Amino acid sequence: MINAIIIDDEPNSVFTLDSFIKEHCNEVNIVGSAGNVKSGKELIEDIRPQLVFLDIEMPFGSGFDLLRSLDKITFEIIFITAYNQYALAAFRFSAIDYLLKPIRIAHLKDAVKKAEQRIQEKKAVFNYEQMLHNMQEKDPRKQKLGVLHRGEHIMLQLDEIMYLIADGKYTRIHVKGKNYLMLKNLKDFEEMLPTSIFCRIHYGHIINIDCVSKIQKGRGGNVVMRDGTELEIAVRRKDEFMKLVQHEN
Amino acid sequence: MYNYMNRISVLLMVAMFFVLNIATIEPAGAQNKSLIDSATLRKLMKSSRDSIDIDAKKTLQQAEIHVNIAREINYYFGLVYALNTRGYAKRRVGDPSQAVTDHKEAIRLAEKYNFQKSRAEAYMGLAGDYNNMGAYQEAFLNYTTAISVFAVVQDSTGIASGYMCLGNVQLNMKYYDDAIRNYTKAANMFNKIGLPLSAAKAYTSMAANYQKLNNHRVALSYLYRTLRISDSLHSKQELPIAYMYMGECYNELKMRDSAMYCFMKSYNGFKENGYAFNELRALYNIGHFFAGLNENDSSEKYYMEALILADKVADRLTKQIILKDLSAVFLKRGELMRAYHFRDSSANLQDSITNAANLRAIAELNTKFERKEIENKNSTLQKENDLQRLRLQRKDIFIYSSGIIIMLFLAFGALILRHNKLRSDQQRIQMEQKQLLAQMNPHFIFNCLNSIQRYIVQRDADNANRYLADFAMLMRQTLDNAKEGTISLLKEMEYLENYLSLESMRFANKFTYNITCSDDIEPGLTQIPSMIIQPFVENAIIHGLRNIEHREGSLDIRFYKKEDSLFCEVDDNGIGFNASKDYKDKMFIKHKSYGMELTRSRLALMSKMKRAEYKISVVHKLNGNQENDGTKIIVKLPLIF
Repeated sequence: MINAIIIDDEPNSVFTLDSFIKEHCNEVNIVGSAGNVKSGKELIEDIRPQLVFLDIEMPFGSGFDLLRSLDKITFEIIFITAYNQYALAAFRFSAIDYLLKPIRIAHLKDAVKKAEQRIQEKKAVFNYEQMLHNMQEKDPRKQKLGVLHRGEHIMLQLDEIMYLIADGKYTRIHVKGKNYLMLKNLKDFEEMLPTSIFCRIHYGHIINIDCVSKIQKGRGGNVVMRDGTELEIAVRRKDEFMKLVQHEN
Repeated sequence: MYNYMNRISVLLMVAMFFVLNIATIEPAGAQNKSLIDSATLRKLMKSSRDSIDIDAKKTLQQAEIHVNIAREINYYFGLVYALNTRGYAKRRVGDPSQAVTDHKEAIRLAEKYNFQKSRAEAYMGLAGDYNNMGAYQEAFLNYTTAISVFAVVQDSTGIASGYMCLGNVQLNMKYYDDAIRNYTKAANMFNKIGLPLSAAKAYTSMAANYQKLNNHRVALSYLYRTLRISDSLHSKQELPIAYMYMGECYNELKMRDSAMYCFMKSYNGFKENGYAFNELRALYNIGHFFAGLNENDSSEKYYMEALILADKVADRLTKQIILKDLSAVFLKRGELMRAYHFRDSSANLQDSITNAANLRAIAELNTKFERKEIENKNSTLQKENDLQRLRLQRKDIFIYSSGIIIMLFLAFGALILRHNKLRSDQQRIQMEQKQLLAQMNPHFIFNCLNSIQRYIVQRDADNANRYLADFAMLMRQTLDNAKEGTISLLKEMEYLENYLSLESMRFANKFTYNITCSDDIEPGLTQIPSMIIQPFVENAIIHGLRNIEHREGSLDIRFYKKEDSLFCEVDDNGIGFNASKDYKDKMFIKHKSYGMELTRSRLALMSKMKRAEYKISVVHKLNGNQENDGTKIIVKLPLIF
């Protein structure tokens, strides 16, 4: 059994989640709940749960404030939010599981199953600190993109990523000397990556403009990347790209 | 070769048509050279009919002449038209039984010459006459016939008017649900066709319906819609009747001053355009009003006048009510014999109006009509397609012409430096749109849905339904209010009430709330800018009340008048500004209070544009120990009626 707690200030939400877990997630045992950041912290320190269902919007600060106030995060977290674009962007960027209110039972089961797996395999707890770091880091080059690769959770620092190439429905991310095939399409990455250093110069690829070593003129032209790869620039996207490069210089 | 033949035959037909036409028109013209021709007559008749609302008596006189001319020049279409007009006019001046003759004659002629639209109009007229006389069975039957004829000729304005009148009959028959359904249908159709004034008429009728259902506030809200439409079109046509209903509603709500004001406005309006039937109603209302105040002499005077008028216009329904009320007045004065006498006549009259057989017949007709309606649906759908196409075409023209107008305007604007004002207008619209988005705070929406989920999980269908309906109502109000620059204070109070009930449910009654309005303000007649107060209330909850511990929160919203300004206080006993700011500064994600910011800049802009003072002040309350004790926001607005 996994011992879990719910931290959410709305009684309705606690009730709903508790009922869903009792009915659909037999492996989880809800051992307590708290309604704000302060009592949430106390509860975590008392109970030392393995899993925390954490709402983002709360009185006296958000779920993130609660995490920051702890010395070390020793539990798995399933984040819950009704609507917070900022938080959602952060979760996606760091490949962290979250649930949206009103909760869909299938999503809940799925998230719980994944958390259970990680707990049983005694894997290092997800890099939540990394996510908090990302949220505070002003320089996008030092932010880390969380990706799932063959079930492994990897963090890629943005200045290591050279380019991304569409591979059918999937995407291949090229970093120095290595590449990873991701189960997401190029559009998903385009939405996540900061536009100050990444540019989609073609239907099929996104490049890191810091990693361009040469620009060859032509109708649209080509870029030569640091590792020697030549990539085409679509005519339609050339202006945007040139503007970005000039801005950088 | 074949084609060629075809063309010749078409030419021949066209030629024949001309010859025939000349043949039919010529003799008529020759016969009555001194008289006007059919086209001129048609124009005259139309303007005469259009002025029926302004002066029914004059229209009646003109219609008499038109009927005679049309007969003399054998212009049958005109004859039917004039007969219809004469019928309407007769009814308007209070002679429905004579009107019946005219409309029946019009129907006969229209059938003979196959003028479908005129025939439908005549049925409408006939039904209206019966309705006025209290013969609802006949009225219902004739309206349904009219609607089906209108459907055949695909005249959507006619159909809409038909539904509207059908609603009137059902209203009289106390079939309120059916009436509302038909009025709504009519209002929607009118809006679709682009006849806002007719839609306003439908709203007025809806109000009458809700009034009958004792739902006076809803009735008032529909009446304000009518007033608004009339104002925006500068039309006085609907005003007296709307004021009449408003007076009745205010009277029921015990708001005497407003009631008397509205009654007088409506009575004068009716008198001006000489519509006896409504003048009667206004007279009755004033009588009823005085009866309510126990001023029996004044009351008797107006009732008696009304009674005479009721006999004149053969309105048995109103007569019966007047008799009953008069009886009550006499009873109050201790004149028992007279009281008994009037009561008795009233009862007799009522029996003859609504007997059981009457009701059963209507019910049968209702089902029959419903079946007919399905049959007509196909043709109605076809017609709606056509309408849509027409509208698209109209839209094209509209787009081109508006493009040209905008270009001209811009050229001029550059010359005369008008663009300043234009810019602030745009700013206002943009801000209003943003305000809408701020008010439909997605966080709030999803949390509401989340709360509903709880009741579903709990299998508490009653609460789930209630919450869902409340939520839907709030969304609807938000969308409706956003369309208007200003709304009535009454509406704003209803909106806040609804919003707060949802929020307090969501936070499990963590706080109580109270919305009040001082007696010297008439909430229905006072206008305030839409979507102004709610952001402050939301703020009070999220930053003040949501964070309190170990005590009960309370939120007071007060509207009051001071020195010719309207004030609104949003007063909470939450954790107060400083405490709230403390923890907000420490927060990882900084909250951006879009709603507040927008409201501030919107009010600033309004102050500039309207040259009136809109002001917000914030009071950080302290208790005896100089500790934070909640926040009070005071919004100052100019009083607008």
